[in-house]
Amino acid sequence: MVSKEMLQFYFKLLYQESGLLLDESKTYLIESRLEPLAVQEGFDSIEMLGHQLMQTGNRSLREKVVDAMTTNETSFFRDSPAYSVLREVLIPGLLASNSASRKLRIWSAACSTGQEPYSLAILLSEMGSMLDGWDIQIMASDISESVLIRAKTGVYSQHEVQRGLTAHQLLRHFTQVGLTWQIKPKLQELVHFRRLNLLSPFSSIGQMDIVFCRNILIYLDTKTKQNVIDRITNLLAPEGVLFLGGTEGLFGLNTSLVRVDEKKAGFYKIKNSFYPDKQGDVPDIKRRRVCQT
Amino acid sequence: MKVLIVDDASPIRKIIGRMLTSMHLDYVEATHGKEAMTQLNTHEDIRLILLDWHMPVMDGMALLKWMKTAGLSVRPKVIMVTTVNTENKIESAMELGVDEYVMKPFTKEILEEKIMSLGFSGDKNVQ
Ligand SMILES: C[S@@+](CC[C@H](N)C(=O)[O-])C[C@H]1O[C@@H](n2cnc3c(N)ncnc32)[C@H](O)[C@@H]1O
Repeated sequence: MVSKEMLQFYFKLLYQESGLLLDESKTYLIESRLEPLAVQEGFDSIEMLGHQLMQTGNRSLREKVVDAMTTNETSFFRDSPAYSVLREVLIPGLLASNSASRKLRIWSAACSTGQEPYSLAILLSEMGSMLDGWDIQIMASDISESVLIRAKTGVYSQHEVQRGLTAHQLLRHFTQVGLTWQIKPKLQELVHFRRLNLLSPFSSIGQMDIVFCRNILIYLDTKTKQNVIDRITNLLAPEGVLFLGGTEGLFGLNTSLVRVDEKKAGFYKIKNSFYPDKQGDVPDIKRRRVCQT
Repeated sequence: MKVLIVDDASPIRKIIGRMLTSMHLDYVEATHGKEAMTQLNTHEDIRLILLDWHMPVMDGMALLKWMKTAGLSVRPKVIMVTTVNTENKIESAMELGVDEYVMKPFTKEILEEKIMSLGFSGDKNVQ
């Protein structure tokens, strides 16, 4: 059993470091995820691990605690309508609006073990010659070092590749290595992984046309969410799009983003790029088309 | 419309059968390719086959080859459900016209996802 005081210490540490908000109802999560770490680091208990952290503030140990507490559930083409709307509507639109620079910048902001950015790479590679000559970069980041190490290898288990990939995609974009499947180098080259905490400044990564920030806001409180969304909005290109997880929204936040629902997918755009003179309006896609033509 | 489960292992047929029922899909069974041929000739409304590879009497590949020449009025979609999991074998099955491929062991979610991706999901189906 972990003492109340120690639980509070861990809750505070996690909130400060990653924005993860826990309370006593999640004690089991602390226990089940930190016990293996405590053992691995040579402590008798979570309590002892905590005392060490309190006394030394050991940076790498703090990071390991944060890492152990992250939920990394993900899959290829998760919430697939997002990918369909990108392929059918949004990327063709971005190719038109970026035709001068011929650059496309994509960010998977909590990429976990890499299925999300690699799905984007697969999607782009399947769009064929319309992207020839384009400078495309997919940046993929996560707070957790251990998921990034896995993501960079591009190697997935049989179970992982069966979730979300069609058999054709598997054969076309992966090579079998023993019992695992390795993504092909051409796709791997499109994705640049780096460690990035969404609570820390990230404006230096530059302007983005497509941002995936999926299944991470659910772990954050309103204040942290607001902060992260504001800073993502700041680096979104005028015609850029933001995708959240299938069950996430910006409810209760004050933003200059509007939700658009199209082809069974929901995404967000900066208000002004829809209606120069109709701020605050809820956009409806038919009128948007009328506006543009 | 019906689904045809072709597998020599009765526990697998049972698991898959239960899953199909939960998806409101009707099904019939066969324990090898020969039985599957009979089922296909009997039930003209079979639109999807969940097909094992290794089976006694007549295996999955042989059934696929037969289907190519059998002149069925509608060619059912085929999902291979098998322990055969090497890249070149999967390729050879796809070349025989398999639509999707599920490697055992699989979870219910995975098979369900593949079935739905081929457009089958219970009562909403076109018959
Ligand atoms: C549930 S996964 C979502 C993965 C993927 N985006 C998806 O939707 O399938 C959440 C990811 O967010 C990461 N994460 C948690 N807190 C973070 C933070 N403060 N900054 C960056 N990433 C964070 C976790 O490490 C984890 O990999």
